[in-house]
Amino acid sequence: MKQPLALTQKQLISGLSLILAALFLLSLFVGSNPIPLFQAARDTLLDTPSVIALIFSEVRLPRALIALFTGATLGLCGAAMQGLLRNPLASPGLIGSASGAALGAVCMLYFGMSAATTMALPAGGIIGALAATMLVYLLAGRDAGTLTLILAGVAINALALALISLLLNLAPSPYAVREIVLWMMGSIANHSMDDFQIMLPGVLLGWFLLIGTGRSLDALTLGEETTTTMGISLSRLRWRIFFAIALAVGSAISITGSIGFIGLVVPHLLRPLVDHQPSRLLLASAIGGAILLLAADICVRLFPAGTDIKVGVLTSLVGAPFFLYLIIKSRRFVL
Amino acid sequence: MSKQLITALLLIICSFPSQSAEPPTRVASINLCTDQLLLMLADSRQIASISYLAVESSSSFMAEEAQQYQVNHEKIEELLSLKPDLILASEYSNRALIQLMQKLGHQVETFPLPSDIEGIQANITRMAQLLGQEKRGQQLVEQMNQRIDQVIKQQPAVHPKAIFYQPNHYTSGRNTLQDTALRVAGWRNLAAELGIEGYNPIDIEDLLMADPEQLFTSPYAPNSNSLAEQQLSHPALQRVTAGRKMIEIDYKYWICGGPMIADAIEQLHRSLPQ
Amino acid sequence: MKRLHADQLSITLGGHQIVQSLSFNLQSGEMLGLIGPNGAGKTTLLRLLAGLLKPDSGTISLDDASYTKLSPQLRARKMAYLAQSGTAHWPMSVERIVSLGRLPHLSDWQKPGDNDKEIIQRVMAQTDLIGFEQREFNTLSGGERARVLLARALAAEPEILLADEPVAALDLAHQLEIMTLLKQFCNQGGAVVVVLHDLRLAAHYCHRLQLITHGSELANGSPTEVLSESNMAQAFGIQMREGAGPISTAFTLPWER
Repeated sequence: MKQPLALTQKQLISGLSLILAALFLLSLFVGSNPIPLFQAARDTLLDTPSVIALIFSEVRLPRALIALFTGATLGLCGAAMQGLLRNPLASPGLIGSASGAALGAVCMLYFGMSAATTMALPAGGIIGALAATMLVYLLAGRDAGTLTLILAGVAINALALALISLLLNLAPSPYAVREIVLWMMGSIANHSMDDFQIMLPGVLLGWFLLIGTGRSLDALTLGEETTTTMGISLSRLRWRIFFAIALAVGSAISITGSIGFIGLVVPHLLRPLVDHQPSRLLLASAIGGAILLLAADICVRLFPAGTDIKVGVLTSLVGAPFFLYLIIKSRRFVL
Repeated sequence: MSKQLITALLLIICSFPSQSAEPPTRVASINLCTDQLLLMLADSRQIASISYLAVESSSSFMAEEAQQYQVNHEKIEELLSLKPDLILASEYSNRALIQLMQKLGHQVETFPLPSDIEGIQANITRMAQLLGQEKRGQQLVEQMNQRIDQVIKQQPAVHPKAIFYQPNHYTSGRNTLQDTALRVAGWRNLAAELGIEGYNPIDIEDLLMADPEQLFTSPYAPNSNSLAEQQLSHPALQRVTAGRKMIEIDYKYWICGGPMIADAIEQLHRSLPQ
Repeated sequence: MKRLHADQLSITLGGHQIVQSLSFNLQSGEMLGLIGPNGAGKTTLLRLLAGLLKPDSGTISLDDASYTKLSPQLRARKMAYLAQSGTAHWPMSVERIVSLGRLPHLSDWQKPGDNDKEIIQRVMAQTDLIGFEQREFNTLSGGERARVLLARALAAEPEILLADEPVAALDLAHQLEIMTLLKQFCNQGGAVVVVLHDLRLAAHYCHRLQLITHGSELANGSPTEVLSESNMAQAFGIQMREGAGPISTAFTLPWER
């Protein structure tokens, strides 16, 4: 008999939030130059022109914020997707939403459209994410088993990657080809507050749409039929979640590139702590995802200067073995 | 005395190209930089072929003049069919190709990429000699030096701080043409002061800490879009220079060491704060 | 008092006419058993009544409100559905699963309040689940799981229960347990429609039986009326045997082909 952990939702969320706050602060501290953080923050608030204020407000702060919001988005969307599909392997990365978003962003950026309108970039990400998610859903079918779902995801991911590669080769810029790593591995480096502001609207809208779905995801535990008889419209739920994920993941990834495994690992780790209840998992995964990405980004900056490790490399180094462990452990997974 | 005279005479005799006393009439240049000097120094009847990059206006200073000539793509069969009597290459040209051409009996002259004015002068002089155009070579060097001296005379008392910033955070440190040009024009090159050698990336925080007054860039492919190029418009870069916009100096002035460096130096000089 | 009423329902699924001009009635306090051979359309009828399927023709109404006008949320507050293969996709605790029953009465952002918690407690007591609160659903026996899912349905405080073969995979003791609980629900004023395979249970517990064959009604009435020799021969192709029990309750059993 499994003893459920004696952790209330309040305790869990408070604990996670504390860790998040600590990592956020740490992220502001880490950089190639040690700067007095207090001084920098004060200068920024008082609008005093100083180089440390500049580094703080234009280099470190946007980086920390982008890591936080992207990580939270990936964690939250992973939890929502797993709740909807009742499949613990569903995640924006596996399902292709992330690479679809990257493809959409690549279309916009390298061919000048995002230079014309700044919001073209997240728009591309959103459309790409939506298209990919819909394709996987249509391919795999409504009551898809794990095997079908994974296969559909693999197919769409491969297609998206191939198209990204093709587009980057055809792009007018000579730098394009080598940037494929940035899009497939993800990077939080070198972004500005402008980038953060561009991704924010879609992210917040997506979150807003998702948070209210907790109740319906809980009901889905009992199966689709029972859920329908409880007065919940399944098609409306599905569309709402797909759309919300496209908005949030699409916007975030159009800025950071496709960062993998957070949407898979975080809900998995936290599920036992919320007694497997999908609605409680949503907020916890959001915070957990932010924690994971902030931690990965901090680690990336601790490598010696000159090594250009992308943050997605770290999340993959953690996530891939975790994924393998899942597969080995659940041999009773009837694929 | 006479021993020295004989030695000098011998040296002068040996400095002539060993193969022909007559200047070459079918010169093929397989590299953008040798293209430039070739187009400036040679008579048009001497030029058999120039590299395909010479006709691109964004990176070739002599693009217009290059239009009338046949282009080559650094391919062995192309070159053989041209039947050149002199081949001009850079130190970065395809080694295997050069060795093969030499094996087949062709004269191949390799030119280094210069990183200072002396290097440029040496290249001009050497090529002028190879082409039998010593007078023209001398003229080019004189004109270039004149313009540079003019600028040096007008250097400000205090040199303001500048730095080059390229896509993928590249900057030009010590021993680069940009470094030479900046200092001649009257700027300080912060990248050199930070100890950077050659072309290397610089961390944005380090750049900001150095507190530059002016940022320069040299767009390789203007008006194209990529993440690397986007970094040039990071708001921090504009704020650190107190609103002074990044100045673009055309790529074609630097990519090859030639007299056009004077154009770049003059441009840099003109952008000094009044 | 008439609760559920359906008139001339027909539906075609996958190219086959599953239900044909079938009518249906349910009163308060009544336990109605839907019986018939496999593929007769019993489950399809139940799903039509639950609102999971839309009929090609015919009308359904709950308390005189037609299904086409009644919002699913309102319907969910009056009617609860017990699916045949009751599973819980996530290994939640029993208490959480039961509290899912309160969802039709809570909005998107509401958490279960004290009133809800009271109801959950009461329902768990009714289904003999006190002490099982923190047990993980998937570690329970078949009978225990059936009780939990029934508790979930009861937690919605429905007035009508629709149950699709609620005792199919259970052993005898648990079968009787569940049927007794359903009967209790009726005695307290609720109404139950239950699809059953086992004619003994149908005869023993249901007030009324509706015998369905080939998508149409063959017989409708008290168990003794419906389980007549001719009906059984026609519907199932079997013979029945009558007998009398120790406390002089007459019963009929399926006996031989």
